[in-house]
Amino acid sequence: MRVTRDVVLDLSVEEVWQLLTDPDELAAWFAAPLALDLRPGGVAAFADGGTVRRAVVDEVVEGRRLAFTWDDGDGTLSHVTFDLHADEDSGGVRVAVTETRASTAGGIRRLPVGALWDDRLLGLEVLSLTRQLVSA
Amino acid sequence: MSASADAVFDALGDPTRRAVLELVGRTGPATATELAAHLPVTRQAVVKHLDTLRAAGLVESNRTGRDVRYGLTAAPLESAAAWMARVGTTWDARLGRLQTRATRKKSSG
Repeated sequence: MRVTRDVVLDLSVEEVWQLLTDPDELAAWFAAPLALDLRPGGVAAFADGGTVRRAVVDEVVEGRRLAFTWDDGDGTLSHVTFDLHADEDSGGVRVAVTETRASTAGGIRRLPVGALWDDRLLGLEVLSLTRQLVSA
Repeated sequence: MSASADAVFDALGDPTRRAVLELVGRTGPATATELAAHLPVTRQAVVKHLDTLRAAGLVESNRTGRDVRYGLTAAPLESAAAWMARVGTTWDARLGRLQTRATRKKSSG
């Protein structure tokens, strides 16, 4: 299950990248970051509406791509990717967003196994499960 | 906990399991024994199906005395289409705000 959207911004790539990565900018258009470690494997958290959503950063290619995995506050994980491209027609920057729904916490076991993945995802799963226990 | 579409589709892939779910929905909270009485499978098989349905978030169990009764969950089942619509709408709103920030950024230099 995948959702894709895009928008063309009349800015330079550097300016667009700043909108995607600066905490104050993110708070204005995306969600208020409670924690933001923008490195592969880094952990982030966002106050999205009334929900705290935990995220693990998957990929950071400055000026090109930003990808993370996050939960919806209810046990469902999804992968979000921002891809930046020069928009030939307008001279601006096209930001393409993709959000792909992953399985629930039980699906973590089907993801690639590797020490780094396990550690990051275990943390995410524990946080997700903890929230379920707390809200039950 | 919301029902994951993956687990739900898996759970509903078995015709007998679908029959169990439909029966639970029709008769209301019932024990595995009561359900098995209306199905062409053993009580043991019904219990296995109920476990799968419960893992998928489609039924919940409640113990009253020595009986365990199974009923449909109160949590709404979010279909793939509903998820996509909700997430798509959310991104439309976010990207709208991003566009606004970009315009503001451009004019402020």
